[in-house]
Formats: sequence, structure tokens, C-alpha cells
Amino acid sequence: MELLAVFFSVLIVNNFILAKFLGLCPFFGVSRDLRSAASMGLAVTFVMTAASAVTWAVNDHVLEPCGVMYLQTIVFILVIATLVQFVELVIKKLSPMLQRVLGIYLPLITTNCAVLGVCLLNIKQNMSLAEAVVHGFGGGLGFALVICIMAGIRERLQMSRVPLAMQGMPISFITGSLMALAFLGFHGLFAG
Amino acid sequence: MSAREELVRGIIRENPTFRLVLGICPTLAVTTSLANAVGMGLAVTFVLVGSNVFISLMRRVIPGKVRIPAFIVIISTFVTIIDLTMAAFVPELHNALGIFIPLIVVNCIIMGRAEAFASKSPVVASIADALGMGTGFTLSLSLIGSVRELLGSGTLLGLSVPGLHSMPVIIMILPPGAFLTMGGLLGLFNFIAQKRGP
Amino acid sequence: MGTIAVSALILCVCGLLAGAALALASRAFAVQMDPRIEKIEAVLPGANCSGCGSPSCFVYASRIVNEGASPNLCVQLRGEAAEEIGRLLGREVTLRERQVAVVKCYGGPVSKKLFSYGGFQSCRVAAYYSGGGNACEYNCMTLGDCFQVCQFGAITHTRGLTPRIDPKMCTGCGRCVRECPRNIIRLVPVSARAHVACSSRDKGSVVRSICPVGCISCLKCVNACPQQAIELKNGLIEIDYAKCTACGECLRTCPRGIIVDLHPDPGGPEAVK
Repeated sequence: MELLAVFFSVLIVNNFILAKFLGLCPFFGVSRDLRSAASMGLAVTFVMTAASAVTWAVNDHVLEPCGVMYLQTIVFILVIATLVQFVELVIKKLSPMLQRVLGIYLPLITTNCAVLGVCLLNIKQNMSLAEAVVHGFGGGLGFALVICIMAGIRERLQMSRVPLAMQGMPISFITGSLMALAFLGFHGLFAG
Repeated sequence: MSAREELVRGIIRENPTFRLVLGICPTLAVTTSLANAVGMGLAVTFVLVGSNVFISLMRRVIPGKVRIPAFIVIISTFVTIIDLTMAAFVPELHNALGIFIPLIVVNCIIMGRAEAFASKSPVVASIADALGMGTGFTLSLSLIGSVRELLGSGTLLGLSVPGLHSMPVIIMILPPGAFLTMGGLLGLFNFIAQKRGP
Repeated sequence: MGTIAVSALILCVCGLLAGAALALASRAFAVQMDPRIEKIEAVLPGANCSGCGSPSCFVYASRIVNEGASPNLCVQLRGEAAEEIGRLLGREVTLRERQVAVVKCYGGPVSKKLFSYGGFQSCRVAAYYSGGGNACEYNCMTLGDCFQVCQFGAITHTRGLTPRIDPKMCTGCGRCVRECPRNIIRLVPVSARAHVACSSRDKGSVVRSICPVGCISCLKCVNACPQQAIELKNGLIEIDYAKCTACGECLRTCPRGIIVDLHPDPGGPEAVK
């Protein structure tokens, strides 16, 4: 099935962090411990799915008919910022539990390259609405998967003997490179 | 702080890539060759200067509550300008950089400088800060780009280098190589900074 | 001209729609909350250190207003903030004396080792592996778990040496106390002077053979204290700070020099408060 192929391909083969280089700032910023990494992953998945749907709709009904494709960047980022703000308000009112888990991460996601990136890629690759939503959902899950793995490794790294110059960011990048190497092994899967 | 000091600060002491570790996405994605790296660096510098000037000029006019959305709109306008300009005048570079040109909008460096500096400082200082950060960013990207291109394709700016061209380490232009180069260089600069003392 | 008009129009419309949607949403989804909660939260230090027992300053503020929790549970609360909270609640807020954390063991680097430990450099992990090679099962493992959790930067530490807690920066939030796997970090009043730097509950003969700075329960300090503030409880020498007058007799009497002055600087505790 088309949609399954899109889902799995963006989940592990063309993983947003390890293959496409999108969403790297939170990848290194929020992956200190497993709990915050999981919360961030959850929040990003949610926003990416919603943003994919809404921006696709805006592009299809507003930008294309008026022939103003060059306004894509501005309009998309506005839509994403508004969407995130809206989601924050709704969550605060409807689910205090979710608010406690996701609350501080939502404003950070507005400037996450993964969110704007997936919206732009949906258009660039001429996806249908269904494909776009699956693309966003799978991309978000892929992000969550990798950020959780990284958090697990970093928790252990904290207790290991790392040379002083390499402590913190440098060793995390090297870890990332090993993870990217491992994920390269998925290349060719779902290619047909 | 004088304008000259602002400039130098962005290049060395507060280098956005190696000291502040900001704007990693384009740093790793477009540095497969030196030409792409320089192109991205110059594009970001343009957006930085443009948005810093505008935001600094309008800093007393923009109300506090709509600060962030206003900044986003200003920055994305400049990004669209440079996007269309590059598509018209340097189409190969534009294609090579792909979606990372529109993604300059969400580059943490630009938003960060706008929020932390341009919204509170006069125009000349903001220009100096933008030029400093932009130059620092371009230089860092060039460094990473050179390393990756030399080792990964055995060329530099498209011209093949005799010894390296015969046995390129292809992994260097793939994602793992990007992370590896960044980690190695970060470690090196940390080491230098520690040697210099606190 | 047409392009400019069209783009400007579309952007204006999008902006207006977005603004209107958010304005409506913020009214439709407004959360009713006692305004005092936000005011109290603004006055609280905002460090979310959990010293009060609540996970964050916001939750603590809600508990103060909704459940009548006592405002003086906040370990960092000082004069003006306490007055402000008192004003908002309409009652008096009395402050407790500030507490600081102290490590009750200096024997980590010098006590006997049964084997050299090369595993994960974490006290909690080392404790699983036969105490990280330490012969004494109560000593400080010097791997710095307490240093890792201190969010106020009050602890300085080098691996292999006893961590040092700076009473000027310690807020008494208790994170290090909870983190230490051997429970040898204690909270004492900031004005406390005498401090027994040993947590061993072993018999004197055992301690003599494994640690040069361990307490051998000779009870000389117990007998020497004029206020009878020191006693041997469950194998540990404890000082009752309510009775201690900082006369220094116990310091002078201890044959091993294990009782130390927490504030050796000339200013004493007043310099630190």
C-alpha cells in the first residue's frame, strides 16, 4: 500500500533527523533524559501531523488558486505559529495532564525545522492530503524514536569517562554519527 | 561595545556554530561541498543583516505581545527575497541547497539575534552584530564544507586534489560523516578554548 | 502592480484571520484560575527545585491557595517575598531557618579499597557492584552523583575526592540528600557549627581497620559535651543542634579529629546567612 510505504520510509529509511538533517536543535538540546525526550517527541509528532494537514489545505485552497506560490514560506510559518498557539490554548483547557507533559515544549516547536520542513516537502513531492498527513505522522514518530534512543545513550554517557574536551556536545555528535551509520543500513528498504 | 568588537565577537568568542551550537540543521545538511557551504553562509548573512536592520528600526513600534510573530514575518520576507533571487541568478546552487533556503526562517541564529539583540539595540550595532554572526557562520560552514569535500569527494570547489581524489571516503559526504566532522571539530575547539584558560 | 496587490491582500487576510482565530480561541478556552495563584507564583523563586515537596513553583502556588499549604515550605523564601505572600493570603508568614546540606564522610579518598572499580562512574551504579570496591559500606563513594543533581551550583567535585558543598550557595532543597545512594548527606541548620564527619555504624574495631578518619565510637565527645547534645544513636554519633552552643569541646576532644567546624571562617555563620 502506498501510504504504508510512505510511513515506513519516513520512519526509518529517510529519518528526519539522521538522514534529512531536520530537527537537529531539539535533538541535541532536549535529549538529556528519557522523559523530556519522550515528551518532546510526542509534542513534535502531534504538531507535525496537524501542520501537514492544515498547510496542505491552505496551499491547495488559497495559494495555488491565486497563483502566489512564492508566499509559501511566509504563509506556512504563520500557519504553523498560529496552530501551535491554538493547540497550547486547547490543551491547557481540556487536559491539564497533557499540559504538564507537553506544556513547555510546544512553543519551542514553532521554530523546529522539522515541522516547516515536512510541510514544504509535502508540497515539493506533490503529495495528496492523505500522503501528507501520513508523511507528517511518520516523520514525527521517526523523530521521537531517534530522540529517545539518543536520550538513553546520553544518560549512560554522563556516567562514563569522556575526555574533558569531548564532554557534552562533541561526544553527542559522535554518537549521532554512529546512529546515522546504523540507520544507513535501512537504505534500499521500501525502495520499490 | 564598539561595532568592531561586535563583529569579532560573532566570529570567534560567540561563534554560532562551534560555541553557541545554533543552527545545526543547515550546517550539517549543506556542507557536502565548499561552494554550497559558502552559498548558504552568504544567504544567511543577508537575511540576518536585513532582518536585524528592520527589527532594529521598528523596535519601538512593535508591541511586546506580538513580538515573535512580527519577527517571524519580517524574517520570512527576507528569506523569500533571497530564495527567489537565488532561484533566478544561481539556479544550480538553489537546487543544491533545496528546502534549506526556506528553512532559514527557522534558523535559531536569526531568531535568537533578533530577540536578544536587534530588538534592543540601535541600527548600527545591529548591523555589526549581524555581520559578525553571519561571517562567523559562513566561516564555520566553510571549514566543515572543506573538510567534508576534501575527504569525501577528493575535490575542493570542484577541482580535484591529486592525492585524495583517487580514494575518497564517501561516508564523509553522507550523514554519518557530517555528524562525525561536527563532533570532531567541536571537540577540537573545546580543547583550544580550555587550553586558553577560563 | 497586480502581484504586489494580490500578495499584500492575501497576507493581510491570512494575518487577520489568524489573529481573529487566536483571539476567539483564547476567550473560548480561557482557564479560570484564582488570580492569587499567578501572583504568588511570580513572587516564588521559580527554580522548581522541589525543596517544598511540590514538583514545581506553580503547583506549590496552587497548593498554597487551594489546599492551604504552608508558604514557609519554600526553602528559598526570603523577607520581601514572604511579606508579599502574607499580604496576598491575608495572614502572617513566618520563615524557617535556612538549612544547608553537608556530606557526613571525609573518608572516601583514604579508606580501604578491596578492589579497583572501573565501571560506570556513578555512585548509585557503583553501590550495586559491591559498593564500588570500598571496604566501608557507609562511606562516600566520591563519584559525584550529588554534584550532578545540584541545580544551584553549590557542589564542587573532582572524581575520587569528597564533594564540597558551599553553604553560601546551598538552598537546602534536598536534591543531593535524596540522590545519595548511601544517605550520607544531611540537612543541618545554616548556623550549625560542630559536625561529625562519619556515617559508619560499624563497631569501633572494624572501623579502625578500614578507615583512618572513621568514628571508632570511643564516646569521648559524648562525655565532653557540657550541654549533653551528643549521643550515640543506632551506631551513629548525632549532635542535637537545638542544644549545641558551639563551645567546641567535642572538636578538641575527638582523638581522630573527625568532628569539624562547619564555619571555620572568622565571620562564622553570620557571614554565610
